[in-house]
Amino acid sequence: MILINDNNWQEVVQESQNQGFSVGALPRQTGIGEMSCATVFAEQVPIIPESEWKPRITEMTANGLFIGQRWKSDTKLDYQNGLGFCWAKSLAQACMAVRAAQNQPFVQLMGESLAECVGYRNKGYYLDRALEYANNRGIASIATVPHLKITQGEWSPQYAEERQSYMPLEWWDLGGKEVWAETITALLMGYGCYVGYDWWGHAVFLDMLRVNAKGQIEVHTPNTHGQGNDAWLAGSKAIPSMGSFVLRGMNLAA
Amino acid sequence: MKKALPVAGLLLLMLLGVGLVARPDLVTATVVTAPNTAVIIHESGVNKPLSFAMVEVLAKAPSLGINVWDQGILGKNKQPSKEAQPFLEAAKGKDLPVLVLRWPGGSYTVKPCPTTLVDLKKEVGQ
Repeated sequence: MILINDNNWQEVVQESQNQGFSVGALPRQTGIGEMSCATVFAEQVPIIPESEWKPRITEMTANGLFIGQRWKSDTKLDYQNGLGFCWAKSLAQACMAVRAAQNQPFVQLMGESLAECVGYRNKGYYLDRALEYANNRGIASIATVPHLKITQGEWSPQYAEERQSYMPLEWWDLGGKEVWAETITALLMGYGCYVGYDWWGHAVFLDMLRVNAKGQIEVHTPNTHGQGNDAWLAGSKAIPSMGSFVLRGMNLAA
Repeated sequence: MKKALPVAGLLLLMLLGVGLVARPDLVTATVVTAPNTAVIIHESGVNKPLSFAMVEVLAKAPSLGINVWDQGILGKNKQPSKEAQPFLEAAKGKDLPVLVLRWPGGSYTVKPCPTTLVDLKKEVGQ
């Protein structure tokens, strides 16, 4: 578990690079509200007033209501192991979390199955384009796409059919008004956020909030940089800077 | 005589059994009062503030075995499974959130979603 704030973020970025993680998240290609599968959050959802944030965080934590307290995946399989696939692995985490919130059985979904987006190469990608792709094609599970295998030849031929059972259908696009307030509101509503951080070149899934000793709100990610690399982000480093998206529902075919 | 005893015993047991079945409290106990599937269909947007109590209801429902579906899955070109379709049909046109219950006989009940966890538990017989 690591804490990333305005004082140590450069060390964290350096450490990520030392571990072989290149830039995986690229700036979004679409404007807010331009995607057919994502409506503008700020136009549909009232922001929870800031005065309610901390009391709600306390109550949600105590009652196990954050989505991060209600889902689990196989963290070994979420590990991107040097691949620039954070944009895909964290998207898969968002999908698994929503399946848990819908009361669907756990299935380990594999971001590797989105590799077509980057020509089956080890490359970073755009969060908005990735979720559009997943919306149309789905995400395959470990049953057909093995861990860290990003070429079609390494997958079961059934992957194309199987992934249609796991389609992230509807998203909210955050940042229409104030991305931090919207992100907190979404988390306080029990959703998770698929976000990008430009200073880190990294995409993560945000799933929980807490208040630190200084009274600052921190946000948690089950970071895909490997077991033990879960992170709490604080200060300006907590604020999504390359898009913040909320998955509302997975399909019910599975 | 030796054969008559077991037969008499059997008759006695049968009579007792009839008596047991005829007891209203026991008959009531055999009536199923819990649905076999429960689904909450909700919408978290459309300018409705989501109260903390409703957040709790939606978050805890899966732990009661209740499915929770955001209305996003009701959108155009969505293809829910055959199992999901009747629930979505039942909720069609209703003010969300709703609780859709499928009973063992195959019938469906739609009602406004309870706003507390206690009431939700009652609705699903827990």
